[in-house]
Amino acid sequence: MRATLLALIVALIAGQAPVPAPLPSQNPNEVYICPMDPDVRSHNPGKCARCGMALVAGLPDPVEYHLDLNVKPRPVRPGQPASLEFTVQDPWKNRPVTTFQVIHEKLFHMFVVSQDLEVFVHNHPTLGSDGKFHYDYVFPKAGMYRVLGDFYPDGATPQLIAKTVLVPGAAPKPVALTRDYSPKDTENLTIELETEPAQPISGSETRMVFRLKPDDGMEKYLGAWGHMLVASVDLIDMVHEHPFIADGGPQVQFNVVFPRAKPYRVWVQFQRRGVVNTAHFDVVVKELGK
Amino acid sequence: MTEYQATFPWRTAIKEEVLERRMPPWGAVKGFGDFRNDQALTPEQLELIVSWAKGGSPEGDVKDVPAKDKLDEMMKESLWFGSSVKPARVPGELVVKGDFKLTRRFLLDGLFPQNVPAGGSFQIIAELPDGRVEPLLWLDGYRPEFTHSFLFRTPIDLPAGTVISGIPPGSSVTLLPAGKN
Repeated sequence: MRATLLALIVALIAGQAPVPAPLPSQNPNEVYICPMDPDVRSHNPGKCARCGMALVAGLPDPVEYHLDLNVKPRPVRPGQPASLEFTVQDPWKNRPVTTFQVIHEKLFHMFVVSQDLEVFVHNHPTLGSDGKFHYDYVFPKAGMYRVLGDFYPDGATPQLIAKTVLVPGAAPKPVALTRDYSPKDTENLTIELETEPAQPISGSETRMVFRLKPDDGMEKYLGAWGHMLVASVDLIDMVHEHPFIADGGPQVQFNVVFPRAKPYRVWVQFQRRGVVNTAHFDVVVKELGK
Repeated sequence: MTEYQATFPWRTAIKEEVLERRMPPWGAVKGFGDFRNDQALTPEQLELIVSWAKGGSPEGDVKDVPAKDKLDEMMKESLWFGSSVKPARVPGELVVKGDFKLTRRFLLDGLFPQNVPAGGSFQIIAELPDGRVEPLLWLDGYRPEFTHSFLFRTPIDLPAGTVISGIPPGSSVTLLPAGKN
């Protein structure tokens, strides 16, 4: 099995992801790939229909960069201001990386999720003259927080790296999620969810269709018709997705593969008439046949 | 199994094993501790394997397969092919159980968990005298065959009075020192 995995990775590195039929282009052998959605490919330059990022020819092999998170003061206290400092280093010689590509209108996307899944933050640390990303935040309570950094170093591929911050004190009680697909009333939207299949299965694709009411005034938020963060109840799996099908209308479809048979909390963000609407739903994922 | 034809029948099992993080046999949750010998797949790699399995598991271009000597080198670099899982005894190492309070400063290079119950899931943390709590290692769905060292990318300086906690009953963890302690 170990050899199988290695062989698979070698085979995947060999680059056989499905490529659509050739389209007319100046160089029919050139393949332009979306750095964020590598299954979106074209023989012509352009933008990814799914996430809006520019398609890139000659995308490098994916290599994971190092992300260090330094939180001050030490120790960080619940309810007290804290400064988060993110440093990116290359994986070969640990050299600081200070130049980044814009990804969905920002250089760095940060998600913060608390252990009890009650805290959700999607914000954007700013790049300082020291080459580090900075963000001021107040951790509202004690316990574990998972911090997800989404960034795109120059000459690399987009990175999605999780870090952990432990805020001293009595940790919140473990949460027990049950299915919650009930419509959510947010700032200026009502968001409804339907999944196909109705019972999501681990390892298989689930189509998550959101219906937005009223059906007018939808706008792109950070370059996409929607954003989704999926977190397993134990905060081990964290997945960032963008719509698979969306056109600015009232229906937005995300395709998600839930890794394990666990309950998941799913946060979605949609923008309407200049207002960002955030809602969460709880999805209980089961194993096939159980 | 290094040939496409032999790998293809296992495509679904491969997808499931990597999504459940039983493969590669690493055992630690990503982002809780930072390890220089990290064998866990990145989200991008997971997505690539899932897309491959979902998209009909097509064969790659033979011209992109690494040369045999390169493949041998990759296998040697892989934890499970190239090294013994049990490190040689290191002068200054500490074998700890339960909650353990350091009586002297310890520059921690890595951890070597032993006798971890199958399927075990637990977080090992360091509670420092100044109140800081540092994540060291989060094992989830652990299997005996995962047994190996977890080596930090940079050593962690733990002052005297630090409490190492989170080790489950019956298990022990060897604290591996970095250089001179």
